[in-house]
Amino acid sequence: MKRFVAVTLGILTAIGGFVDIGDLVANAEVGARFGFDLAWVVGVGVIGICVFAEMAGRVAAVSTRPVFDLVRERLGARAALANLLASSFVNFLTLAAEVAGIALALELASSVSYLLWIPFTSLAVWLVIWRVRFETMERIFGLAGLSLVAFAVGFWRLGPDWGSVFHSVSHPVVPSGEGHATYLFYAVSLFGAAMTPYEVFFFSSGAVEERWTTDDLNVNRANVLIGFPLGGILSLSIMGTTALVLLPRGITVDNLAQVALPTVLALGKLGLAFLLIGFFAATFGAALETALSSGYIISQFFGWQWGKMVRPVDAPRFHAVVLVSLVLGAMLVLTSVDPIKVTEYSLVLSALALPLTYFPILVIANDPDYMHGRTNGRVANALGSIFLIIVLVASAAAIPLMIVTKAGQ
Amino acid sequence: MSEHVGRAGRAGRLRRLDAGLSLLDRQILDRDGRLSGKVDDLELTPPEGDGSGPPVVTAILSGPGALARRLRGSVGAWLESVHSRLHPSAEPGPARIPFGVVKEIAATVGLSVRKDDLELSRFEDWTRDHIIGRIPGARHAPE
Amino acid sequence: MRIRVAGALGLLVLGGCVGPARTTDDYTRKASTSVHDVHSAVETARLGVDAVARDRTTGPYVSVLLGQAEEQATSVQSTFDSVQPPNEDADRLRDEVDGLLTQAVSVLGDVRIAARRGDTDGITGRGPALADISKRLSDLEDRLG
Repeated sequence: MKRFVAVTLGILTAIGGFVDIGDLVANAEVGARFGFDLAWVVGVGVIGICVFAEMAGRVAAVSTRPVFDLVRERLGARAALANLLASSFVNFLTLAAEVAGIALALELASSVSYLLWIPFTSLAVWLVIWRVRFETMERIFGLAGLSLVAFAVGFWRLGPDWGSVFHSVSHPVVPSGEGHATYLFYAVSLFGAAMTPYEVFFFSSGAVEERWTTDDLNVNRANVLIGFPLGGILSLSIMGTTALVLLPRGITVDNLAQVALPTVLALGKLGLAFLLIGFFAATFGAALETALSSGYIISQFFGWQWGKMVRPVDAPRFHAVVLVSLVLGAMLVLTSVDPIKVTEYSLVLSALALPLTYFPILVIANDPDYMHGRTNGRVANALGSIFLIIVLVASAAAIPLMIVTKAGQ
Repeated sequence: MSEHVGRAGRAGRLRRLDAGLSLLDRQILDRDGRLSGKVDDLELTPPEGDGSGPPVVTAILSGPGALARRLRGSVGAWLESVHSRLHPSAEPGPARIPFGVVKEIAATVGLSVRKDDLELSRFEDWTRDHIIGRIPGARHAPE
Repeated sequence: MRIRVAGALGLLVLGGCVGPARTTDDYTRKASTSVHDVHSAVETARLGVDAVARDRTTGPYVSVLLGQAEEQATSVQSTFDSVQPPNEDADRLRDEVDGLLTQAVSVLGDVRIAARRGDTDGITGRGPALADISKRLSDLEDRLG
């Protein structure tokens, strides 16, 4: 019984933790503009992240070291440094977007400008990292993120014509009035939102923080293989609500308030309350993860002590990196640059950086020196290779599409 | 770089390893198993005696300064300039771990001493003393 | 390497810039996009008003929603106004579009003010005006092609 509870909790945490500001913005924008014609991208992205999260978790459990830690010794210092610089930059933008997202959620609840919330939200994120236990932190924000199930309920309550929805999902077309380049640009952004790099760094290091062993592998496989697809359904619900309500009225999504609008109309104040809790939890949780990830990858490259599993004085450089990242992220948001634009850019750059994140995982998961007999099987390698190709294509297309479509205009 | 290692361990047994493959970029762990940096570079000295034969690895060099020197090109130069600007002491040389304290070489490089005993962590100490150590709760054990 | 980075960043920034309109077609396209964006803001406001009428929402949420709709419209209008019309035909288009955008911004402003005051009747009372301006914007958008 206890085991059942633990497994269920793990799955629920994975579902709730799946969505972040990038998913909220990307899925809402795409639904309002393309209806269900890009739903397939979410499916592909979910499979991709399942494949690689399973590998990363296995690497961490078997070798007791996170993937990024092993990149340097396996692929060389120069490759690892290039990877570090690119990943750190993308991570930083994502962190800024998430920190802004928390403030935007509070703005929707209070009508106090999000800029005024930034100092408090950044401080709160840092405090939680400083003092709250790793597992507790993950659990609370993961479970609270389940509030976003209001999107699924809202979608159902909006009374979609299921037949035409399924048809649209399974027969994607480029809608008339939209160019192919724009369609592909949003496909790349949506893909970047589903397969965010920081997720892998965090997941992999988190596995070591929680001291996974090979005994934990099955449980954690369940969390990933059940939790992430269900999280993907949440993403699709967001897309569905805007497709049903905003698309017919020609409304394009530019802010977080519009993301909530269809569900508010369907479910009223209760729905809004659930959404606001969900927005807060999703963005706060993601801010924790990206801030920690920036500490993880820099420390792991240089071989510094890292992690919440030791006292802060024993990992001072790790904590200094986290602190500086949060401060700089807050400062970027305080320049009052449009946080939705920052989110959109972070998604494109995530897509650009994906090969750097995923190629090392595939290599290391196949390395018998680290994997002690638990290297990738044929299925994992087949899927991993297919996705590596997909990821390379998306990465190569990201910047050209962004230039041609002027970032999706 | 595949030079052969002259000596490893207190027992003084000679082990011939391909230093480039086995040593560089490995994680260093101190006596207590704490993460103590990576093998960023190796100090090689010409062999004694008649000068024939491969150079001997006499020390491990660790730290961004050492890494920057090894990575030739603009990336290394950039890293070196950042490192020298951030480094607290006047003369930022790489941290040097004499090879005598290397206890084992496996997936990680194990030392026979504690990391505080070596001049390994000037940056870490500075960060601890001036920033992190000053924040309340820094010494709180992780629950 | 530094030049390459600067170049890449420059491309990123330019991606978001608005250039001048050299031909009537070009200008018409910009006008059409502007009308579309303001129409989107007006429709958002209409849904917000609907939510208030059906008591579906809270004060803070709707005032943020309506405030951002107004900001969006204002920003689109000022961007549109900053584009130099290429010829005299375009001038006429500019007057028509700008006139309509001004009205839209005005109604959105009124609704925002009512929302910030918590004046529910003031909000719902503006429904018809919003519907009207929305129709005219969408008719213009269809005409512009």
